Amino acid sequence: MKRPLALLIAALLLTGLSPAQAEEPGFMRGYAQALLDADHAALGLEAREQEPPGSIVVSSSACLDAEQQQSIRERLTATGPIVGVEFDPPCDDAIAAAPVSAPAPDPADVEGWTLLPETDVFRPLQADPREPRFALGLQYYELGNDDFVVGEVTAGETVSLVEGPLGEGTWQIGVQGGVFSIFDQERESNDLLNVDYLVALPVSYRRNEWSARGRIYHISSHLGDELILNQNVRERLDISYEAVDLLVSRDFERLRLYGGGGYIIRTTEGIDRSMLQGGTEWLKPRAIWGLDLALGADLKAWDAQDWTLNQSYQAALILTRNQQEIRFLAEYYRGDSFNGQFLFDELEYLGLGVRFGL
Amino acid sequence: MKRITRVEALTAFLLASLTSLGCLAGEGDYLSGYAQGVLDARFSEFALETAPHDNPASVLVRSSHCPRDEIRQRVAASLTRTGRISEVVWQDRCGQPDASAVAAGKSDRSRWLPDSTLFRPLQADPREPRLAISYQEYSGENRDFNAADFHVGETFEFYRGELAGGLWQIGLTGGVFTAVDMDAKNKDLFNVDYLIGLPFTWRRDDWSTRLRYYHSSSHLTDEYIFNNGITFPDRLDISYDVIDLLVSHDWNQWRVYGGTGYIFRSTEELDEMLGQAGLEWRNFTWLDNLGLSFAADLQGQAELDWELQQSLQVALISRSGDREVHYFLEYFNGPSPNGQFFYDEVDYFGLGVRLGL
Repeated sequence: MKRPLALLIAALLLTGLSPAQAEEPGFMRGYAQALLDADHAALGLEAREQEPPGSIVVSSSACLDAEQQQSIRERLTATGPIVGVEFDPPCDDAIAAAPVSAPAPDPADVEGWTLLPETDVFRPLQADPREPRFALGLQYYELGNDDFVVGEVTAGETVSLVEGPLGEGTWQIGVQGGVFSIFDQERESNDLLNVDYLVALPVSYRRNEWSARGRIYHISSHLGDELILNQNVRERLDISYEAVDLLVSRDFERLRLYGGGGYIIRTTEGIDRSMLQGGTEWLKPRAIWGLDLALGADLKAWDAQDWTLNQSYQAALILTRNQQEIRFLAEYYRGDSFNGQFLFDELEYLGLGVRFGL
Repeated sequence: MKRITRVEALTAFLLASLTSLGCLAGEGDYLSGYAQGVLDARFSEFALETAPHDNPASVLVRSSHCPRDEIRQRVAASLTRTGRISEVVWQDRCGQPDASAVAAGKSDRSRWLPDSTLFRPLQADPREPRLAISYQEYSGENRDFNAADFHVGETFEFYRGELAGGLWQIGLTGGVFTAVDMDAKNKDLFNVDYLIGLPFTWRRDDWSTRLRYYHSSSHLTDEYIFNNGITFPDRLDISYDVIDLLVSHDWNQWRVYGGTGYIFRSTEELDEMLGQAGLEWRNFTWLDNLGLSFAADLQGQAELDWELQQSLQVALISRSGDREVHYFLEYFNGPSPNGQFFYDEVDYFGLGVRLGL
């Protein structure tokens, strides 16, 4: 062995460093790692620098699906100096990419519970019209024998309060609250027609591609004052009930399937108690103008409505940045009404709307 | 085998030492980069920059102004959370008068859907959109009763840009504010107010401002109408559109704000001028993620002959990352914040929980 090479090896042995480590000590790697730890800790990702300057390789223990890659790429290039992101393994779209099979939890959170976690382990249901979120919509209603345009205002949120490890997965407990209001846009004062309130305590769990959510919730429904006073309404349905429900969900690469049921444990109107729900969601990242395309179908049936199939379909274009999103959506609904005061009326509508958050 | 000479051994030692130093310098760069990533992810509105520090486990955080103690604590807690960084050393206008130490070239901070707000929500304003529930003991002109207050609201930021040395944002804010009579047999809802607005906010260092257009409408509820025999003329048709402007300044743990508004459309022909001012104090110095706050909000309007609506809150705040839970005590005195009872004097104490900032 020539002496200079021996000297180099001796030097490296003395430092205890591998050549790879010596090559990647820099600012960019730390910057990228911080963003990965902040927003994708559960995936156990590592950042490496590569040529040209500003390029980062994100390595993972298994393939990241297209949605995950897109989310990471957008996060890393949204701010600061990173201009290019590649993945190791690359897992092209052409290859059937399996989701990461064994998420590595954030070491800081493994030993105990985490208060106020930033992500929900059970993703909100895209096409369920009674999922709490913030949304505005205009809908062309056919309700019973009437046709009219409705403005829908939905204000609601799921806040995860605490999460912890269980088996190889993660559980969460949170609270949900939502107010679902519809206004008659064809009346001079845009009459408030119906307001439904939902308060829930969800317990959710995720292990790899499987997730589940059990809830106990209260719903109450109210007629709007302008409807009562302008149309001299003399009676209302006293719809108020508590129910439990359970949904199980399975993620595939771009597809999600879910299903489950519920049961009313207390009600004021003596309505029948059993409920069923199922649905599917599909997402294509960067489908149109750099926006994601999401399709969702939600099917519900309820003993109280003689098991009429309530079908809700949505197509949405999604702008996603910094873990926030805006959805521009088109929707179609057919079945019995989900608005509590019109629960036993047939409803069909087409709508356009905007939704904020997941 | 030829023996390694003393010179060659010394060369090997120096090479090893240089490599080690390179590693340490590299580790410093890595930590500095890691810290910058954390700051950009969580504290981008404060335009903080990092640099390696002489102590390899420390990071230098540079600011072109003097960050408040609360911001310093939050930054330090975030940077040292994983244990990679043991100490945060500040270089700012408080300790280092030479502001030229701050690196000149900043990256573009414009972005879609920014994940933080520039104008912190007003803690004691009873019509600030957020997620909250409280139990209140009302003393009204006509009767005393217990009420529950449900607020479901949020502010979403659409876009952030740079303006006049600071940052601006435009967003959407919306909230539904519901009051329930807990003494009524069926726990009657008696008032629902809706608010939807477009806020334009701007922040530079400790100054922030919010210019907002909003629409508000107020409704009685079915149970209240049926149980009290309300007829059409009895309902106030409160619906109006407002432009308001608030300016806020932070001093360490203190915040002072004030401003005015103008009703440019209303169904009840309300007098147009509005005024608002307030004071907030937050302290997180006693325990890492547990803080205490006090806030006072004062509002008046021409329609009510400038009679003051006084809202006071004391809150215990539990914080995890950027998320907060407020456990608060509140007191309100003045014309009711509930639109349908706008002209009634009320006085209430409340106990509640609020999620978010």
